[in-house]
Amino acid sequence: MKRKEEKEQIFLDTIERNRQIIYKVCYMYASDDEHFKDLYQEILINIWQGLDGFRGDSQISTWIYRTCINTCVTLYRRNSKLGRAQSLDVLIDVPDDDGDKVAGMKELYRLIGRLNRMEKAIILLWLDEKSYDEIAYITGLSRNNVASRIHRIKVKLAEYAKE
Amino acid sequence: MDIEELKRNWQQLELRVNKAEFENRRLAERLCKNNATGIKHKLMARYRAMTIVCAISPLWIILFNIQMNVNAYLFAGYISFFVIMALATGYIWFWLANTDYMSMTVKDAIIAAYKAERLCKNHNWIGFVTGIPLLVFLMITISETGEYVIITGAWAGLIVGGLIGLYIRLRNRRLLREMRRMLEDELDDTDECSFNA
Repeated sequence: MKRKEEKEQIFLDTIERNRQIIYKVCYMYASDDEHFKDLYQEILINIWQGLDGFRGDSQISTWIYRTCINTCVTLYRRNSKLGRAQSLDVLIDVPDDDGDKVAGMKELYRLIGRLNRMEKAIILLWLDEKSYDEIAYITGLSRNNVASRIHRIKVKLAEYAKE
Repeated sequence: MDIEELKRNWQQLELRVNKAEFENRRLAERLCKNNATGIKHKLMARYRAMTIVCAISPLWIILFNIQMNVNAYLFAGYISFFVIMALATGYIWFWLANTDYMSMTVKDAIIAAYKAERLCKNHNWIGFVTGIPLLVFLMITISETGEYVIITGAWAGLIVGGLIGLYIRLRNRRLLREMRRMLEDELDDTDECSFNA
């Protein structure tokens, strides 16, 4: 019983410390409120199930990233590329201290929403200042491939922004 | 849009989800009591149940055959259908049980997700193909009864069922092609395309 209580506490602490990663990944892959909640719950279940097996070979945030992204890419909805429902803004509350900055971030989210699963994963990790080696480790691509893809994604996003 | 500037802002961005902390605690309690399962486990449970049903179904016709002399072709068709379906369903169940998406790289997880969908859709096709001979033998058996209304109803059911099956097959094939195209787009580099294995 004590073991379960300990695990529950570790789980809650892990979620609390890494909740921004989970929210950002869910937000990036979700097509609407319901999808966001499904992804969020599934990620939490996968973190719970994987917690015992986490040996600390990598940083906990790297492991959380991989769990979040892998959950989202395996529960992908084919229509999520078509654009997300506005209702996601109701679910997510962005601290509104700088209107322009927030608007810019929302626009970025919207454009990233048009990328494919792998591109979303790469840009997410790049935005969070993960090194090319870490991105390569999480995605399973070669380092050179990651570099060239990041360049291509930036070009793609700039093109989307002009449309 | 200056993506480098947006990247700098990214770290400061804080998203808040209403009631999330309360939900986390409630979910943790449910997980502690083994009261919450993920989608993969739900899918596995479904295929496990289907495997068991398919595996025990031939027993019914064997018992029935002892009491009444069933047409030999119908008997063989029935047994074959459920044995093939039990093997096909069991394969998916074991495949799911041995696939740990969370320990994979993103690339491998995407490939595995495609493979899972392909397996499920091919499973439907196997069911459809092996079901046809069984239904034909069943129709022959029914025809032997000479009951006009039953024969007409059975043939109508067979034709409608066959058309629905063909429609599902064509739709699945289109979906798989779309998924394959999406996968090729996502893993578009020549050294990365190893998802045929």
